[in-house]
Amino acid sequence: MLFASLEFAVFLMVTWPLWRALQARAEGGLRTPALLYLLVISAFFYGCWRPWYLLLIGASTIIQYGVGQGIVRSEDPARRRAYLIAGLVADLALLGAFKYGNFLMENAEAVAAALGQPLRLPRVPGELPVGISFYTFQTLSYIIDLYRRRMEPARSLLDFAVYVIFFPQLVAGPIVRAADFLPQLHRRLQMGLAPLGRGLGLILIGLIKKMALADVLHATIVEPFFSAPEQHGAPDALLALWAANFQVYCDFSGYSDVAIGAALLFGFELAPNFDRPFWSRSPMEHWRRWHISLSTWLKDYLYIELGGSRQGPARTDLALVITFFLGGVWHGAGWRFVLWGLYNGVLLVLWRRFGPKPATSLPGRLLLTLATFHVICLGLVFLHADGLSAALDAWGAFGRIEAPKLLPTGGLVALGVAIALHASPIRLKQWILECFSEMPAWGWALAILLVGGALSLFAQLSVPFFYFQF
Amino acid sequence: MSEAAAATRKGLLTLLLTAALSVGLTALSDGLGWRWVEPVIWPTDLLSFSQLKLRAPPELVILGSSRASMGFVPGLIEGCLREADPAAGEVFNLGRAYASLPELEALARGILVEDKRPKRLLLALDFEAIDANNPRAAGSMHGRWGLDQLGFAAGRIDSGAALVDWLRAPTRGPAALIAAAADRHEQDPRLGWIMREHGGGQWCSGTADCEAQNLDFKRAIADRWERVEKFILPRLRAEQAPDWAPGVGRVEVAWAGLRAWSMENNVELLVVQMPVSAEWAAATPPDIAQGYAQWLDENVVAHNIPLWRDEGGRAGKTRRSWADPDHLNDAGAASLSKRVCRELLLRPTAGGR
Repeated sequence: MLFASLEFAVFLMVTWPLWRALQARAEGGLRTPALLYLLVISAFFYGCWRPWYLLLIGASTIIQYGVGQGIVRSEDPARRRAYLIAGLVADLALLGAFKYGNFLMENAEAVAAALGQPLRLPRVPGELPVGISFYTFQTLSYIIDLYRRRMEPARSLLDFAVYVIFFPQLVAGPIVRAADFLPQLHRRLQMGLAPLGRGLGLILIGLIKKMALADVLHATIVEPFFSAPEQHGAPDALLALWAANFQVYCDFSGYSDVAIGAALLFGFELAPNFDRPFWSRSPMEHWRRWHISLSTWLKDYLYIELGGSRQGPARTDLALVITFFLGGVWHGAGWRFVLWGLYNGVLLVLWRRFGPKPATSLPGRLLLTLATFHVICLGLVFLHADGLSAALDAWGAFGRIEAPKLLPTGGLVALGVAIALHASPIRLKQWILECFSEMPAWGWALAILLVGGALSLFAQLSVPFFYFQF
Repeated sequence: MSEAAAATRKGLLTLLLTAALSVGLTALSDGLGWRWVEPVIWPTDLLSFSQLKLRAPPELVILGSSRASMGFVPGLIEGCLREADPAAGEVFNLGRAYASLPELEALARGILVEDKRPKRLLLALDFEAIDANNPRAAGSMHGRWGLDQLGFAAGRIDSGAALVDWLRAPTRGPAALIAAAADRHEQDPRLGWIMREHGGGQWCSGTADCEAQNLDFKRAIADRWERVEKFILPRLRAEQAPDWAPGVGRVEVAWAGLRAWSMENNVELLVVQMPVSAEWAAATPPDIAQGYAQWLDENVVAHNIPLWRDEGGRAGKTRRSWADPDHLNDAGAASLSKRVCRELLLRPTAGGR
């Protein structure tokens, strides 16, 4: 069930009133019927993709809950460590088998063939289950935090299952930490007028970002360029790179807005996932402001474990490259993800070592912002191009000075709006959401119909959310 | 009242108002004749068709997928029919990308009404059209039901997906009004023009404007053959029919519904098995080819509905007739149109079936 669909609208319209009724009876926290209700509607939401996905997420949930209980109940460090390793192996095996299994088999066969020893290896059947990268990271963070004694365990399997499968964040994040989510199950939820209006407003804004901006940029600029980069020159390449960067931003931040908004409708607060990343003045800052829930996850559970910045520059460099390499691979099984991850890791190392010093003057800050934006853009070519040679073709377009061929009015308007939206101050967005919250019910209804009606006209572009593939 | 209770009340009121306004706006857009919003690639301007004022019922309407849209030139069929009978009515090609039988039935019931009800309805079928699991159905055709047909459509709901599709009908008003206010259906003037002036489809003939448009359109899709050859032919089953289920479930219901509709409305039903290129035919899995032929025998021939298994004619054997391996170009469409006209002339209108 896609967020940008009538199915999801119907799902919310049906599930929300009953949820409010259950909440009215569960004063001061969620009672078992309300928790069961959340579990069932989330399972329905997820099962709409493929019912068998539920078996996988159910098994992962039960195993990791058991591992968590084992860690908490044991005082013996070796035993606790053994539980942790078992949990890590179980989650990573699940992710590895479904996400990387076939990629590894194919490459092993290619290597064997190159060595003159043709090999035929088995394949993992079925497609990559939607959201597996997100929920495995959530359950991993749970058992690691328990091992580090940084949080209280879930009070019950039901609590933990609701944390894992809670529908707004299940499919493409944000990656919610158990320490942030589980306590919300046992305190008064945000059920007032302001959160309701803010949630609804965020959903509408997110859908506009996705359908009116990201999909238009994809269809009018990004796809035409990357499907035949050899037919374009430098102006088109530059425009396509800008459009590609804003497409991914509008797509994923739009998705995050809908997820955060939907959670708010049910009274839950999810942390923001983007903080105007293109204002960053270094790649390091960019990754602190882009997909924040993944960046902080990688920092807390990987980068710091690898030594972080405490064990000398060389170790820091190595930690950065490994972290970004694994971050790239987390996004998907393919050489383009490997290359994209390595590109960003090496970029950070080079920037740290040889990059410009932080600027204080306005022109200096502006230059750094533009430079950062463009080096991030260059890396995105790996994600959009179909293979290394296609990426080289895309970069090669910068070497051809030709008149622009890509000047679609709709795409240029969408790019302008996306830039303005990104550049607008956070206070303005908050003010708009506050004004929206205070509108009467008929105003909300008109806004829903206006946005829904207008967006259904964009539905012909129908591009899946970019992060679903991860 | 607590703040939470006030929020619940406002939320419920919003839901009710949204539903009521949506139905109201849909009724308004239907009343204004702005019933059709066309959201697919390779579209057909159905809005323009629904706004045409016809002096007489259409002689022939062609329904099918993009193969039909690109496979017939209405003006050529019309001209050919008028050579035999100067009083013959107009011919329209409403082929629509990805449309399968359930959508063809919905189109027939939803748009071939009143002065648009034809004497003959030609269904241009392919193996995808009878696939109950067709992954690329054109989409929410049930959403095109008029409000007055919601009761009939409700009887067809057999799944959650069908229920949501049914709900599209009373929710499409806002989009229809916005589209009409923005004059969106004119956004691709080519499609409006070809529908109003030449009966729809993707090709036309007989004027300098047509030659120019055919040339422009061919240029626009010049890379189609290469793309289909590269991305679809090597994995045709996975792309076109991953879980092919011929003629069952909703397709079975739609096929029975179309036959009933033709009887009720005295519209003669005709079927043509759409030609494909030699390359496409070779890439089609044998079980699908055989299953498709069998379905035509058991469901078309067995009901005494005229069926033409068009093999593409002599010209159809070569790449010169094709825009890509499964869509005819202007020359191929002209040739098929003439063959269809000859078949029609051999068979005078016989009333409903």
